[in-house]
Amino acid sequence: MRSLIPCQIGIVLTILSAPAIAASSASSAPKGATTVLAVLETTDLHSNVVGYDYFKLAAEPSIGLDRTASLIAQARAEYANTVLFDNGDTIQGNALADYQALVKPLRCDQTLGIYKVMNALQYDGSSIGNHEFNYGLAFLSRVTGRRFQVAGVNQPKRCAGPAFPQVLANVYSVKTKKPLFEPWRIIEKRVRARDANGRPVTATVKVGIIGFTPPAIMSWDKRHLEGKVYTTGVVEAARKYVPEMRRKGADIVVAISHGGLDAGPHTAQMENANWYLAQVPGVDAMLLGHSHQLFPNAASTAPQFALPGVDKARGLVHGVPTVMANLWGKHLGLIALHLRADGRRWRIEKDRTRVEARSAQNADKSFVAADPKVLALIRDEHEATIEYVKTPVGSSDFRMTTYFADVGDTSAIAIVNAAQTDYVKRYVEANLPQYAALPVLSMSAPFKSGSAGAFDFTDVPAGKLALNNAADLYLYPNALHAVKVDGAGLKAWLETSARRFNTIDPADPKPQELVNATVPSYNFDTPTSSEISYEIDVTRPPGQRIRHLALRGVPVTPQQEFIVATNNYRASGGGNFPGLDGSKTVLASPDTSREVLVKYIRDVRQLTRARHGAVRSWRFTKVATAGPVVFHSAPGVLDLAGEAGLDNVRLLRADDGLGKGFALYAVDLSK
Amino acid sequence: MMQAALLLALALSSGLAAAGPQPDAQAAYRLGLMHRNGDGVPKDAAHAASLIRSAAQGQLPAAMFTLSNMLAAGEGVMRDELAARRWLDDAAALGYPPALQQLALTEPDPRKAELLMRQAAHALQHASE
Repeated sequence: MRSLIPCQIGIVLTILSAPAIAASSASSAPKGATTVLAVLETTDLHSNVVGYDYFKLAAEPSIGLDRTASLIAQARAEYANTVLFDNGDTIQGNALADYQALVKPLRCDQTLGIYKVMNALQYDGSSIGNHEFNYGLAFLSRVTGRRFQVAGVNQPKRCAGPAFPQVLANVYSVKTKKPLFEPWRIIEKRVRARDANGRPVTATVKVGIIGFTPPAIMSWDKRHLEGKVYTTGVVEAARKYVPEMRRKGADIVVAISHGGLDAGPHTAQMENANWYLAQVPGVDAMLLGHSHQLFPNAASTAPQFALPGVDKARGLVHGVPTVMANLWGKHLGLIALHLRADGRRWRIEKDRTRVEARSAQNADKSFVAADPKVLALIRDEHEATIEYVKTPVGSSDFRMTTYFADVGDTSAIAIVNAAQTDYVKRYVEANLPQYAALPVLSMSAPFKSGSAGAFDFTDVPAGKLALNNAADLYLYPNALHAVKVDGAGLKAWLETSARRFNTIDPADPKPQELVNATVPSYNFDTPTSSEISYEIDVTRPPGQRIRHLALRGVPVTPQQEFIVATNNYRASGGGNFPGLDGSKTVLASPDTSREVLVKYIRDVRQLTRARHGAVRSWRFTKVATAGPVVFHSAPGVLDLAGEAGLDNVRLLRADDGLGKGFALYAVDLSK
Repeated sequence: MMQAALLLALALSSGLAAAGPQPDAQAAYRLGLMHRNGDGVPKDAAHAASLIRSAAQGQLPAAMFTLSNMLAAGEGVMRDELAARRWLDDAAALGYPPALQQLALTEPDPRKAELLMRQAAHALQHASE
């Protein structure tokens, strides 16, 4: 009789929740019952709520939770029972995130845009990635609706936060010695099942979730975290809490671990500890992230997926079903667990488990449709972010372009060098007194010079400059680095840049191409300083072209030392410039080159051609040539050469005849 | 911004905080770079390549990237573009920003290039802090 009571309640619930099924019910795990529970994962969404590129101000269909939402709906249509979890790195990573964190910080009573959407998509839980800490603990406390008991955070009341639980087991408050978030949670999931006789029933599966983040947050976000929180190892936290979860009745334990796989020696500080986590008894499934990979993926050649115990085709790590859903909502992870109840709890029928990562891109390269409800939910935040990106940070009285960068127009390069020089000079003054007497130079290159077609040049109109213009002027995701080189090294650097040009034979009466198209423009580094000067003699072979290299008119000696501002790519060996392999780096800034540029424009406010767009450090060595020296650029822009002070450029043909829309120009090397 | 800059480490290492590289890989890499550049020791490209290779085999992404450059240029080793590409891919798989950027810059498919460049942007946030 007693056993009928839950059954009767169950019937009521069933009728309310699933009227189409005539079913009996059980509260937990009726012996012999079976069900299938699909565990769904998103990871590393990085605030890509809708597929949109806020710097290009254009739709970007390859990313966005709005398309993953369609994959979630498909999975829910396919599986009667699903739980949906997010792995973390959710709230940071694009202009929308910056807008809500820094520009117009979220109020306590508001819910962060991406959490609003996740609430609507009925997420069952999430973990916390390393990037959740990027905006500091006070912001994280506010947006997650948790009143952190840590130094420097005074959150007087509980803020809105997401509607689903957030678990994190390996980050603790220094003040209280307690976990910052609840380390784990058991979610009592009502499921449709079949009893031992095959009849439909409803039942409850107790899904335990536990979250982990890379302990390296303590160095990555030191300024926000030092003295306030501390971390423990992922495996150590699992060993502490997973048995507790079992004791408290978890039928299955799902580890939501923001990390990948690494078979290096195990340490508590390990960033990607999940090859070891899979070996902790009691972990039934792993939802991974952080390393932005797709798992399972039979075709992957990633060394992490070739480790012992890793089955990259079936999605198993030491037999534990494991999924990593790439990043930015491009995939949805799915682990289908077949469960059978033994009378006390549900057990996984391991050999029937299926793991997959479903792509938002179809086989024909098209993308699944975006769910329009997602944009509708965050339309205000989305539009405000677009306005923010278009907000002027300064203005310019000249057009900044790279159409004639190969022949000396510095209009789109000089501003980058000016910003980098300014930054490094200040840094050296404040932090590197031993280098205070050294000249500070800067190198930058024309990032776009027509490689993708005649439209593919940097071209920022005169007038107001907004954040998206800064993204045009500094195209790449670089950080500012500075190196210390000697005069010989500087000359070698410039020689490598000068490989951009073909060797010109002055006696050849036929047209000769100036530019060696196999040397990309982004490797044509040049300073734009009135202090340094040199000539490029294109009649000489590569490696012997730099002449009259001088600092303030005095020839540079091979031993003379310089600090040169550049970027992390070049300073670390990108382009294989001589001597640049990380060993000369004296400054590795956490600030991106683009941020440095934006800050400089904000400080200067009004850019003028004389100060920021006309300074040249190099000229071609003068030589009369029997035939024309030609190059290709966009048509209709000859006036810009004149405005840049280039009096040696002329248009030969408005159409160079090669079918890609370029015009043919000539440069007179005798001028 | 300058306050943030005060927190910088001098970048004499790979900058990656990953637990992956074997402990002696970093030492081998530094010595390899010294021999590559003749920095306080005799310049010896072959010895440099050997040391840098052992650092790369020890899972140090910066060493993988430099070794890739040396293989592509035939510096201290036989020129081997396929091996150069493999080491570049390995460094990128470990999230080394310059390697991801290099792959992006040379990727003919614009969408794939864009993806790689975004990954470089993301990886940079781990590497430089």
